[in-house]
Amino acid sequence: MEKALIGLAAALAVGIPALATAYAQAKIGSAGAATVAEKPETSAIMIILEAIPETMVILGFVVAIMLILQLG
Amino acid sequence: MIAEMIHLKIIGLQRDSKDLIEHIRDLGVFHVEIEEAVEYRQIADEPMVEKMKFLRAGILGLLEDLGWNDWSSLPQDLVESIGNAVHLDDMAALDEIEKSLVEFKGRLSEMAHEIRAFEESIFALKQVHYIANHFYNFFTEEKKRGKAISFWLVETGKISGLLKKLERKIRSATPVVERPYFNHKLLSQGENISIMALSVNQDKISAVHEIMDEFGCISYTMPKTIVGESAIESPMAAQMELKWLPERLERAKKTLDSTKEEWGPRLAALYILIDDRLESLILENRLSSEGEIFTLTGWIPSSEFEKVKSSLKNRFGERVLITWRSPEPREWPKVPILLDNPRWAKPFELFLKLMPMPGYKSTDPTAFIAIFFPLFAGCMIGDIGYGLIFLLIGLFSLKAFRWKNPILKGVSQILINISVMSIIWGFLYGEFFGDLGHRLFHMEPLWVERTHGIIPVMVFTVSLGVAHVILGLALGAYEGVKYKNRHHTYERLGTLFTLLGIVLFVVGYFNLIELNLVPFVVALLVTGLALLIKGGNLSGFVETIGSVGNVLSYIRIAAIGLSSAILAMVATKFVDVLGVTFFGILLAVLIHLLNLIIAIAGSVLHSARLHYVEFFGKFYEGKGKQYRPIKRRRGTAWRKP
Repeated sequence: MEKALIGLAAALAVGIPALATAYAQAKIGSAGAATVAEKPETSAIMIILEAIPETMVILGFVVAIMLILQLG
Repeated sequence: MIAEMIHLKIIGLQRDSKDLIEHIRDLGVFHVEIEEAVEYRQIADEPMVEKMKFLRAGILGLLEDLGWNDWSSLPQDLVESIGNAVHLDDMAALDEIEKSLVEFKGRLSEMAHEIRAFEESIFALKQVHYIANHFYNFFTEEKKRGKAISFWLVETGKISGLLKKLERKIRSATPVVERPYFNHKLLSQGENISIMALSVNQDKISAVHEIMDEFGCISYTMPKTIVGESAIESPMAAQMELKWLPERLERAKKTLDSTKEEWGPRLAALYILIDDRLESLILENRLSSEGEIFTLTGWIPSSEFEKVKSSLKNRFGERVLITWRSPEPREWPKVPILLDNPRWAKPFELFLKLMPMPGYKSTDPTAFIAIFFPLFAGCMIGDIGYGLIFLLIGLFSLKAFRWKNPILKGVSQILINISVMSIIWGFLYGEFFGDLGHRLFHMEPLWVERTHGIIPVMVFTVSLGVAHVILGLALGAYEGVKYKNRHHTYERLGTLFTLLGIVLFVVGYFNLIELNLVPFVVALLVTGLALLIKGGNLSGFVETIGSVGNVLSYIRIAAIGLSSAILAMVATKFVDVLGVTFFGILLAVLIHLLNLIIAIAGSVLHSARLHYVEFFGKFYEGKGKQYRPIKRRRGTAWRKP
């Protein structure tokens, strides 16, 4: 039972931030595409803005790995 | 690195100004310094400049209408011969060109209109022919019987109700001694509309109109062919027209094509000449002059200085005076930036072209990108098989674009670098199309198998992040010293020391080295905090926390690499499950193909992000402007603007 809970916790640790990242990226992506269409010189800034929310899922991934390692 | 620039001032006689500008354009290295607001006003008032701009835009529009876009094969001698024939400095000649262009545009519009009319006629005639064929038998049979035939557009959903009502109406209107007559035929025209042909006795046609009006139907008149005959009475006429109309369309298209072939290059050559002259004219207007003397100021790369000096001396002798000097620190923001990197790093300048240029005398990160970008991307892909495929694609595209497109040539070189690093990492991870190498050749990893040893890879990527972020902070501190920005320097150094302290603390906590690190940790943290406080505000502390987050962000290299490795293994597993069958191998190949695309897209995007966000954020400030020398459009460098 404990192992199952740890597994579930690992899944949630990566799943919830993944949803949050996807939501944020969708919003930034649509705005970014419009901005780049009007000002192509903002491409790099848009990549930066688009990539910022990814930190959430990366940290979630680290937590998930730590939890999975507890399973042995 | 950023090329050293020299500020050059050329003073000469007004009568030489035109020749001098042409000479400078031939040299192609002089970046003119201008005061935009003043110059725009001057140029806008110049009628010849306005006329040339108008003609240039007009020619470009005509080329668009013609569909001509073969700039790369425009012959040089054509440009020269048209240049000799046309006098662009004469307003009357420009008026004449404008008149000819207007006439040409009229002819072109007529041709386009004719083609469009033929295309529309063919489309409409096909429709008519289809409808006429459908109703032809019905129409001729009913006509022979002497019936009244009418055509209607009806809503498809109302047809059954309409037919019932029509039958009832005809029956009730027909005397008992006569036999009621009613016949119909339908043709669907899309989802909601149908054409209905109705045949009744001649005296019942008013009853039909009454019912059809009640149901909101519209009377449909069978279209006529071009020769004026009704298509339903003479479907052969429509068929004949369908034979000769495409021939006429083809002839009209051929005429347009030959006009395109004949006039496209001439118009393009004229465009080049006007564009060329316009640039010189604008420059002539920008010269600051006083009496018989003019002055032209600008920037040239110091490596070109001797060449420019001797060339001007040979051409104009004592008639021009040149003064030059290195830019003063207060001028640095105005100095145009030319990136001048060694061949191995040159393709990676592409990454800076997506951003504002770095400031003069600041750090050009291209060389660092050239080292770290392929390293990160290769670490994510980490597969010998994938690396070999990317290497082949890179070599092929390099061969294809070497002389044609400098951007695609650069992209190909970057791809080759990534592929080489992927192969090296592939050996370290022991991966060849996932675990296929292990299965077929008993390949073993030189370092660690990613799917089993995720922790070592994660630790390595975080260490890579520490090194990369610390390098960025060190460069940031160096920039602060160079630009005499104390706040910036203290903040970057404070963050750097604090980060190092945290790293040593982690190393000591996990006993990774046999050394008492506590004094070092304390010293580094105290120094770091002191520098952050000296830096002046809270942003330094936020920056430090952000830097820790930045370092952790490098774990993505391990995470993306792991997902790529697992997907590659899944592909091979299909052969296990389905056996060495066509279907099994096909599925494995398809999944490898998908993984290949995800691997290159993901690794490139994430490596770029690590550079733009984590690395550049520590030192890069896009405060420079691009070096844009005035030069001629010539040879194969001609491209559509």
